[in-house]
Amino acid sequence: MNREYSIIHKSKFYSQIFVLYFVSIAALLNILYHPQNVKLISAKTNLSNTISQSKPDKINVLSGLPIRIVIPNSSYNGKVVDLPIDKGYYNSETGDWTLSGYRAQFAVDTTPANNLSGETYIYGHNNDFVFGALRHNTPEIGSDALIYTANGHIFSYSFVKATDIAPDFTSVLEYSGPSILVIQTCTGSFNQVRTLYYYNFLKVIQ
Amino acid sequence: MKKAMQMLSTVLLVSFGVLGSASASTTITNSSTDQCNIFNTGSDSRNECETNIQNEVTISCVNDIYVVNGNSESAATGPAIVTGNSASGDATSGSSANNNGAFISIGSTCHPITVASTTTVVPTPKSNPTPMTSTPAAIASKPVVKSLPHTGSNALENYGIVTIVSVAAVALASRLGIFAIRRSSLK
Repeated sequence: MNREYSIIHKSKFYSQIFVLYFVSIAALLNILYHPQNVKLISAKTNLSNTISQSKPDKINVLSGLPIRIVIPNSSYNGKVVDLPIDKGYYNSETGDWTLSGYRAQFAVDTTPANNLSGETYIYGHNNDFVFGALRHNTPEIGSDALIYTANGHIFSYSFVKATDIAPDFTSVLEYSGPSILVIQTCTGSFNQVRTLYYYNFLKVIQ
Repeated sequence: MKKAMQMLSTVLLVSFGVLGSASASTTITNSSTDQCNIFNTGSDSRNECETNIQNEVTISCVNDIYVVNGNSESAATGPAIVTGNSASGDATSGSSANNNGAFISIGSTCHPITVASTTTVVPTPKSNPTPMTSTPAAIASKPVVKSLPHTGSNALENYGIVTIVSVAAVALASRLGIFAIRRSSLK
């Protein structure tokens, strides 16, 4: 009788220990890898009030295919975001996008970097090799991002805001208006959120 | 003479009887209109036909109509920016024409509706070809994007970390379990 009681007592003890460990480790993992408190925006949400800029009457339009992105104040673990940019294509059959684990991509159906209008859409992994720094530290409003183009121009942009959206909220690719830069990476416990970092065009450095 | 008097009285009696019965069956009809008809009246019959129809019709036809056509247009030719093509060349920014048609159908009175239609055509002149910095070619239609890029970290990396941590947790728990058993057995 005593032995049976002892076995039940022990099994209770072990199961409690196991549950305790499991819960603590799961919580620790969640804190370590998903620090952001993420809010999903419904696909019906309107983001039309995103950017507004005044436009001069006459402008010497410069544009170019993005090949490099630098975000000077994005230091994380001593590493600044400075990445080569590849062309990113959408495969309508599979629904996949071109994606590299170490480089950023420029969505070729959006507008190349320019000083007039349109959305230059750059996306990349949220790992520490690509845009992990943005995931860990949201840029400060007004901080710079630089886009280098294939024809030798450098465009400077100024950070405006970060927005979390659902993966099917593709209307963000239909932007029309003054020139902006949008950087996209994934966030959320299961990478289920797309975070967009909006930058206004500032100036042409070169 | 006597016979003639008898015949006359008989005829009078019969005729009065017929007339009496006829006056009793006088019919008065009043149709839905303002007419009153009396049929088969006889002598000494009293026939009254009173028609009282009151129609009050109030027709109020108020039309407050405001049609405002605001049309602000500007057409400008600018740089054409083309990417994703394998061959290089020039792109042209072409002409544009604006066709605005307003079809207005307004019931402005109590009469049947009047119809008006206006059409304005504003063509803008064709511009000169603009040299391109990028590559043009046949402009393909944009694919319909169903989802944004999935830029989550490498799944293998995540699974590896989770596996390692899980193994460590189980090992730790079992170690604790062994410790607890030993301790209880010593008791």
